[in-house]
Amino acid sequence: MSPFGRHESGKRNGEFVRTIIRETTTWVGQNRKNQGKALARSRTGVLGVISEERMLKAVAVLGMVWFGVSPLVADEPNIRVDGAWMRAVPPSVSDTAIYLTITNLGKDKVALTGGKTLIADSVEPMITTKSGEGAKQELGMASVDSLEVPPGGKLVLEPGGNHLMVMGLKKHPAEGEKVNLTITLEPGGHEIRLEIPVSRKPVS
Amino acid sequence: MSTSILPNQKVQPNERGPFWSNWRIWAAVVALLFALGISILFGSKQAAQRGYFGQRLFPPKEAFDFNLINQDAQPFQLHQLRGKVVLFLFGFTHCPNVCPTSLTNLGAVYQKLGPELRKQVQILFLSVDAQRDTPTALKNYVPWFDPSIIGLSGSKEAIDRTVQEYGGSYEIMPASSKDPNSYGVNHSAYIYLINPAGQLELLYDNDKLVDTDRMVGDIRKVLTEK
Repeated sequence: MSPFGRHESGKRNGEFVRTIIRETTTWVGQNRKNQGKALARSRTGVLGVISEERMLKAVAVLGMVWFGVSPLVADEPNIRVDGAWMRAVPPSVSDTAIYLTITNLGKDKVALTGGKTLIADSVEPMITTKSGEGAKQELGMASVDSLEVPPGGKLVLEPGGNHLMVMGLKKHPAEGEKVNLTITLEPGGHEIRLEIPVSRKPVS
Repeated sequence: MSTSILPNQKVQPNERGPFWSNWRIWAAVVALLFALGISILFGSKQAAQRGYFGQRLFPPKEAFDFNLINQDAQPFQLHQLRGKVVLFLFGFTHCPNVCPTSLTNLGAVYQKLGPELRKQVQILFLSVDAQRDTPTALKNYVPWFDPSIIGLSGSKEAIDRTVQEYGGSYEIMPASSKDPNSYGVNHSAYIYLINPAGQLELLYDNDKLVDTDRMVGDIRKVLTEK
């Protein structure tokens, strides 16, 4: 399992993030206050050292956030994303699909309303439809506003079934590459950033 | 508890009448016939199925010998593949979910067959999107999943006839956006296995393909039992 394909969010993570924010804002405040002094004195002055320490800390933590730990910022809703991947497609094709599993660890229902990625125009939830009977049964797809994750339940998006359709690919990442994906959850228009692998077949 | 049945106890055995008047005998006979019927019904179905993973069409019927165009823009007919197992499916290249899934799984099945069996197997993908899927579009798409897979297209008439003969169906869905070229296609997504004698023998629901081992087992069985 890729560390990027999975994350857990919860209260602890929220606190963690609030700490980061506090640290960062403290540093910004101090830095502003001390900017003149610090610059006027020497860079190795006592106050300068403290603010540099804080700055390093904040930068390190923000760096962690930037590189993949970012999904941890989700305080609500309480969900987990597993096994996310994007289907590699031939360069001639402009659409593809993203598959993932969302587990709702909370007590309230959550809905996946879509997503976005820099490499495509749009990311929309789609369901696979079946119409007709027997050998004449047709498979198709339909755009939906959202896909629900019941409390304590799962939303499984998998090949051949429901999926996030990626439309208007601007580039075609090769198998093995990773792409950034932000998924949006309701209530609250909550965004979760993921870095997901590109693959020809399901990643486990 | 009712006392009204008590008089029955006084009935002597010789007063029961002939044995066929006993309902228990008839109940037993009916139950036996029922069991026999069930076993014949399911037994024959199982015999026809012969342990195949795919749904067996019994008796196998002649597969329609279509006249289509391959991805190199050359005429292509089914009888050119006589002697091979053909896995045949419908789709379209703008299909983001079902078709790539089926083609990926079929490609995996093909690779699992090993070099000897591969020579006796051909996968065919017929696009039901006559408007957008030119031979070039198919060539850019189909072999990407496995270089062995052949993409087919043709005139709308030839495609419609083929789909109809194989008992499938498809439907062009209106474009949801303003771009008239962004329409979708609903289509039947069964995979037809045509045996080396050119007969339609097995039918697979698209979600069966993920079980590549059992698919390989079926192909092997068809080739050894030909």
